[in-house]
Amino acid sequence: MRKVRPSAVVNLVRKELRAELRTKHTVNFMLLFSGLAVAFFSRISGSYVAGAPEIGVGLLWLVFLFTGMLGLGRAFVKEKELGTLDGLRLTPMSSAEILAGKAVYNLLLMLGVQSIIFPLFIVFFDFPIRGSVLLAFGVLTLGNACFVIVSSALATLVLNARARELLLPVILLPVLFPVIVLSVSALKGVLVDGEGFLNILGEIKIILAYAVVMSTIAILTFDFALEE
Amino acid sequence: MLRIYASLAAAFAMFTYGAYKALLVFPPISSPENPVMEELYRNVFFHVPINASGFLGFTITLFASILYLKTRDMKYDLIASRAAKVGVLFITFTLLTGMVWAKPAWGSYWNWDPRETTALIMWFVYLGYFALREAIADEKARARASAVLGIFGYSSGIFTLLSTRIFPSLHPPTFGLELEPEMGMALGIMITASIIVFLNLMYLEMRIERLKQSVGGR
Repeated sequence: MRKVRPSAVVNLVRKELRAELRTKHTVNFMLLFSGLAVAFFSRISGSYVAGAPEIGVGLLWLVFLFTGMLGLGRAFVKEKELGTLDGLRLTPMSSAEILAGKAVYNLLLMLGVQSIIFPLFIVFFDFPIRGSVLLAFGVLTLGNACFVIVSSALATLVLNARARELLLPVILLPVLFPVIVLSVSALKGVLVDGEGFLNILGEIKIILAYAVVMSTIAILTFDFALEE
Repeated sequence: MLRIYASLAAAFAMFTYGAYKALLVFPPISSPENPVMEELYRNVFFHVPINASGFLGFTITLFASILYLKTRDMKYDLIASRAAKVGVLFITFTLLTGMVWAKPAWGSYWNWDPRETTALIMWFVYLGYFALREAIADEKARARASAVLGIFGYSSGIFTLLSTRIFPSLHPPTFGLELEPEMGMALGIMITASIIVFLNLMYLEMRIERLKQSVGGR
């Protein structure tokens, strides 16, 4: 049952989008929270960042991390709370398809947040850009893709736990740590030092390898994680 | 119980021999560029064995977690969680011996060297493992969730092992440490002693857990 049919994944993503667009709770929350965080960080550390732009890159990633952990954790917790998780289990979809659907939907959410927060960030911090903005956006997307894979997989583990919202960051942050460090370093290379694709290829390779390893583990263990 | 006493006595004898060799017999090494290292290298005989046992613990957790998911035998959950617990203890001591060494060698106790950073993160992963276990009341759900995290978490162990290669690091390379044959032997004896202590602690932890379960506690 490990086959992944694209149509099933697309259907799940469409269902998620439709459910989300009905209320827009999560999207609104994520945008509001990340906007607030950027404004706060800018007000508190603006003058330091002007002197050392690499601090800003770290702060940008922190915004994504907090927003993502608070928002994406909802992907499965929501299903559990509404009692629709059983329905999801009963659908004729393999667990890998459910995981892929959730991850793609989460990535769409993160891309939405990213495409609004990234320009805001540049404006608020008056960030001097030396490299290609497109490449920076690509690096961010790659980092976020890793992020959603791991968070979608680990979010299921806390479903039966007490204080799940509190627990998720505690188990998610350390596992994500390599991606965060590497993508901050790659992003700093592009934005601050004006490096091209080939200069940050080392980091990108490791992030990609990490993404492959994590998705493999996630697909192999998701059957168990989703069990009741 | 007798076997535990006997093996611990053997480990103690090996440790005494190794420590005696490391601290009193071996001559200072020559290190012209960093004179402080001449005596400081002796830390290797304590830091490396403890670290090796800690990694052994997390590796046991990985395999026991996989076996739990395959067989659903609670025995493997017990092994996985106890190996992780003693592993965390050993990695704590690894970090401490590393810090004591780093103060004279690198100038401060904590330097955020890639190796220190990744080892600390690994330590947090396994503390998170116990936070997860604490938070799930149902026995089967707890075993399942922590087994999955035990598999995910091991990636941080691999990242720690590779950290000195991926990033520019001051930490000596993880593999391919070059030592005199006699020193290598002493190191091997210390590693063996440390692993014996580790396995005994793990066994005792498992017994405690079983006794707890038999009287109805958690």
